[in-house]
Amino acid sequence: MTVILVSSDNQDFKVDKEVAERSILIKNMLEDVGESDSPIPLPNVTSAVLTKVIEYCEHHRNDPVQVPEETDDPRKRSNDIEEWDMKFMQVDQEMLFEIILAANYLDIKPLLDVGCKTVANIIKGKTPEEIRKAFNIVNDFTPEEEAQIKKENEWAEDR
Amino acid sequence: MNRSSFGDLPYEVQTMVISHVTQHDLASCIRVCKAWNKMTYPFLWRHIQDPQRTSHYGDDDDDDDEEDDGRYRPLPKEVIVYHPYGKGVIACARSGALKRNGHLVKSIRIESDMLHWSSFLQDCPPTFPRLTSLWIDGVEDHDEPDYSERLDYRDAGDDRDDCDGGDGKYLAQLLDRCSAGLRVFSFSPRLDSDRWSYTIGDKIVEALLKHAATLEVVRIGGDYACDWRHIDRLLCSLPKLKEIDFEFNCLTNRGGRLEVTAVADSDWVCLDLEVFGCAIKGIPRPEIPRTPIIDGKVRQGTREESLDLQRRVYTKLAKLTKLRELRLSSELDEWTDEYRKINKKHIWQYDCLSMTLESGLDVLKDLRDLRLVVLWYLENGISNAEETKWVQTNWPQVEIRFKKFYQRRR
Repeated sequence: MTVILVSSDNQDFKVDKEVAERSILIKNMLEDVGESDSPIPLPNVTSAVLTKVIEYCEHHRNDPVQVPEETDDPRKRSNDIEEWDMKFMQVDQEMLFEIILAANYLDIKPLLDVGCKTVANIIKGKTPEEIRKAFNIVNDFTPEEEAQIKKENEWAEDR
Repeated sequence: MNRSSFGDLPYEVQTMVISHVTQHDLASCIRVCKAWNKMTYPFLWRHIQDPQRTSHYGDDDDDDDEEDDGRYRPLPKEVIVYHPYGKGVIACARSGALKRNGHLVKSIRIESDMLHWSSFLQDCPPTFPRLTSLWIDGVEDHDEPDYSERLDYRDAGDDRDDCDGGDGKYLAQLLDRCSAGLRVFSFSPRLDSDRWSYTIGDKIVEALLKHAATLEVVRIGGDYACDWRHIDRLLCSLPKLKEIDFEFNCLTNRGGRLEVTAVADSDWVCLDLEVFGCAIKGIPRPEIPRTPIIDGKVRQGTREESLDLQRRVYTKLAKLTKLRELRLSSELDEWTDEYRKINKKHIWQYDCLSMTLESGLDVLKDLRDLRLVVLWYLENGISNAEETKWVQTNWPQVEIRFKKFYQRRR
């Protein structure tokens, strides 16, 4: 069985129901509507992004439902990303954030997770100035304020 | 359409990103801008930990072309490198920041060679309303003023009540401040001196029992001594317990072991236990040929007494139906110099479970989740022909780590 998804720029995407249901939003919609051939409009997702999202869902169509593990051990928290996902996420930053927004809107938790970890990995090892540059953020601290914060939190720095 | 950027992500998605960022990187995040500071600050304080210590082997006699002539050479000594002074949890406390932000902290992990209990406590807030995990792995400060914390070192195995007035009081105070109820408690004191060991006594046990409604993991290791009654008491009082681990170092004779009668007769309440890590001592093993060395290490008792006791122990362990790991001894780093000099006869345990079918091992066959059994330095029969066959049939999924003591077999 297939369903038709319509992107914000009015492109139709024909996908297997099983693939589309990786999105909890679509899954719930389909359950509410019951058997129906009517296309599902996704006004928040462009065709470029939807193409990527469907590619992800196709690849992970048989994944078991993941149980998120809340651990108190900071060393056990892992930013490991599967190799395929890593390659999948090698997109420009704009697309990365678009994918995350789409995953959030469509409620695809594993994709949202991978997206967040990818952004976290961008932050990894960077100085505040490098983070600002990476995300185009303006520093609104005065030099004194920043120095004060740095001093108070020196204990947390690795070296 | 506008270019999407980090700022376009909904706030809860931004915080999901930040939850994957490590403490070290969070220290950068809070300096990025005011909005980031506000968002990331609670995350910086959620888990506070020392940078992981590293170790390497000293290379003072750095001779690469050294020939292997079979002569004994002492191994290079392991050098443990702690994080630099001024970093980590203790520095954080000293700066006053921990006192201000203690309400945000969910876990603390101390791994330090400068643990100065009384001043650390002074630098802690009066309560940690969210703290649920506490790891302390540390060498105590040499200038520790209160030596009553350390008792004269004696054999941890003695049946003596080793709790003393001032003992463990600082740790107990720290435990009392964790008002949310601890879930995880992991404690490994490291002491430089051979003469002292940290005593896990009444004060610490009492403090732990106040967390009975929440405590799931208790791990004790390092240079400590603990009477078996205290371990028994925890097992009888902590219903939520999933993991209990008391290390016993047979090289230094430090640590804690359970007396067999406690295992056989006590009413344990922690039947959800998944990891049981504690040596059991005091089982008569009359079948073991006595030599002067062994004689002092084996409890007197008849064969019937021995088999009866062991069967009761297996019956008790079989009640722990969720057991994944059964560690009846602690593994040691055999590469240490100390180990190479020692005669294994001295460190072998001879009053342990014999792990034979005759003694009732079969009672354990229904532990479906069991994956690991550790039996290092224990005089046991798990590798005998019959038992090997039994293991293959009943425990196909179980990894058994044991050592054979060849010299003794005839």
